[in-house]
Amino acid sequence: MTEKLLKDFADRGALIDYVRALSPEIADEPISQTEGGRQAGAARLAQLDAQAYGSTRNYLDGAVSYLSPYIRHGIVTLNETRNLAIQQGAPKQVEKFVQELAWRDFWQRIYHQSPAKIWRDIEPYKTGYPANHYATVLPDDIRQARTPSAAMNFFIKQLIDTGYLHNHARMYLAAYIVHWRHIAWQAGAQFFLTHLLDGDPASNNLSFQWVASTFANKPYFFNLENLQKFAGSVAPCAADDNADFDDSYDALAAGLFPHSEALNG
Amino acid sequence: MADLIWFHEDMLRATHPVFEHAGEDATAVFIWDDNYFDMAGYSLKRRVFLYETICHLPVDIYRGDTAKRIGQLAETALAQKIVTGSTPNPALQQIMQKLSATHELQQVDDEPFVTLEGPADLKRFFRYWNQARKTAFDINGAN
Repeated sequence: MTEKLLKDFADRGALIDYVRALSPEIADEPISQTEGGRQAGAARLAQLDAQAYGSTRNYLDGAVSYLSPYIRHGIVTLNETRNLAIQQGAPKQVEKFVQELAWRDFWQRIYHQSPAKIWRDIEPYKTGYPANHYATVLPDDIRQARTPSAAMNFFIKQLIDTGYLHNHARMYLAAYIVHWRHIAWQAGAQFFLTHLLDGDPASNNLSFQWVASTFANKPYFFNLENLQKFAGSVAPCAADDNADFDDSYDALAAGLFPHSEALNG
Repeated sequence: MADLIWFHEDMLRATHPVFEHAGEDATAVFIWDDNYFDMAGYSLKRRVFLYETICHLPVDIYRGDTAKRIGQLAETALAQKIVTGSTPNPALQQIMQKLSATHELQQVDDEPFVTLEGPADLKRFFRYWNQARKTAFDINGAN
């Protein structure tokens, strides 16, 4: 009978070395401080503040739960998380948090219904460009956090170093990849899946499709003012270092989607 | 004739209902499948997170091709059936299909988030939310 792999280690470093030795062919990289296991997930759950989430969730330093890696792998369930959240306030006070859990359930239901949809455009792009306009390979400057934007580089580095990105940072980076750099959402989605500890093909890819507009009525994009408002306390958002985004929404739409009448009304 | 519980990456919890569907003397295993992780493109940190999680579960960890190893373990244990968690993941579904050809395989759903009246409307999130909100604020998602 095949030998069992080890389960007991002197410390986390020994476990990391063991996993590294099991996978000698994959790139070495920083290991996330986020610990696996039910105990770690339950500790996160105990810190949940569903009401504060509702009022601060869009800010990168807001009261988000950091439960996603645990929910992704079934370590913590949506059900128990909701059961806890609804004890923390009236439905109206915890609605945004419960709704966020429902997004995960929504993505999973689509995945169950049609697993193949996850990697295909659900609908055409509404950007004025056909699908074949978008490049299929993620450029090295994005992989290596050497883009012209300091904020995007910060997010890419955080993704690689920690395996985590705030949802708003994911939207910024996904929009940058698809709309500013004209890269197909699939290439960005695979990059995220490689690194996010909570990377799930349904939530990740369908969110990318929402940003790209292949699963939404219009593309998601942002400007510097929005970036500074929600990410400014965490990421380097100075105008000089993020010139691509420094304009009004109308001006940005004209530059990003010049062939779309709907976006340049 | 003990059942074999196959844990995969979408069900890494010792309280998963899979245990309720397997015999008391069932053995639980996880297969560390390098090829599966390579196909998914998982970085080292993702593999560490998974391994650390699995170490906390009442499972034995074996290495190799998942379908092959699970088949071998089921035969060695003379398992009556293989019990596992249901998942939409096509790679895992394919493995389940392979195993079903030679073994009795039972897929167990995890606890639901909401109870819907009728089929889910998945065209856009807010259509689904209008259905889901009816039980989303109830304990165990049930009125």
